[in-house]
Amino acid sequence: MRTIIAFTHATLDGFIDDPHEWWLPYLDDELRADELEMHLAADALLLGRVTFEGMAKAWPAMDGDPFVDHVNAMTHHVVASQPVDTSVWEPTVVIPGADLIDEVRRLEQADDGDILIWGTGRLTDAVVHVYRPTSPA
Amino acid sequence: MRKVINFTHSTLDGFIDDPNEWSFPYSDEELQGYLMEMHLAADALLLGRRTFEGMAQSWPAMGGNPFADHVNAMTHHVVASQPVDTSVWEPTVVIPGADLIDEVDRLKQADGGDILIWGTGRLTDALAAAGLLDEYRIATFPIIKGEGEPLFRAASAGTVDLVDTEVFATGAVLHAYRPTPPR
Repeated sequence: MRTIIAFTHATLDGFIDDPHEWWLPYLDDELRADELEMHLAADALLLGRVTFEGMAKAWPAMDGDPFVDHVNAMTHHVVASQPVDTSVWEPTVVIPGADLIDEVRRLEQADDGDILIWGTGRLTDAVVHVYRPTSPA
Repeated sequence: MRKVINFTHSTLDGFIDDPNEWSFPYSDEELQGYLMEMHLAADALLLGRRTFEGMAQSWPAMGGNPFADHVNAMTHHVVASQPVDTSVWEPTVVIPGADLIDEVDRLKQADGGDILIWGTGRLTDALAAAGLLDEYRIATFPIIKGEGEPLFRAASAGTVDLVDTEVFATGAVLHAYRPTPPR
């Protein structure tokens, strides 16, 4: 069974926006290697539509390093309730918003690598809620 | 020179209010031992007036265990801009709000143990901005609370250096950070 992992950069006070403005001074070989290893263990990205469309503007044009090449080669699963142009960043598969939970359950059973979610948001909350429908003990 | 150390419990999502409601399941002997050691290295508490008045309602009546006895015996420095009844929890010394920076600077030069601040707030922000805060020690508990009083505020913005990490078997993690100039 595949593991679904939400990965995010956060400041000490728990903010996650605009990481490129504050995390680069801390990105050394050790952290880079750790992030590469985590990504190599995964072969799917799970993204909201807005995130997908933003990333699709930049990522396909990047290449030439193992991290970027791997991210581009992963299957991009986009959760969307409206049409998405998947041709801008292939391979991409659309998950209709209403099917999110069923589809993630199905993906989880498949015999593949981990599934990564970048950043945390409503998508992460929705997926977590399925596994923890009541308050923590 | 004495260190001024801000200590707080925090949830994973960075909220610090009502720790009694969420930190107990993670407070094992290991964590208690760490807290005891940190408090024994300190002989002064620095508090805002409202925090002092709240604590003064319960702490003096507690005793009989080494932790409470030590907290009661520490000097309680209360930052206040209005009169404070210091007799309710002795030994207590009032620091007039306008004298905060000068007085903490003076306390740091004096002989003695570390000076602890419990919880983070405007007092911590003011000392950090003045370059008088030596460490944040944050015990993070593996709970996502969802909402509450934040660990930091806009006035806290800055960079810090990680100086120590302790991982406890319960999943609580202690990080010690030293405020630094911006990179």
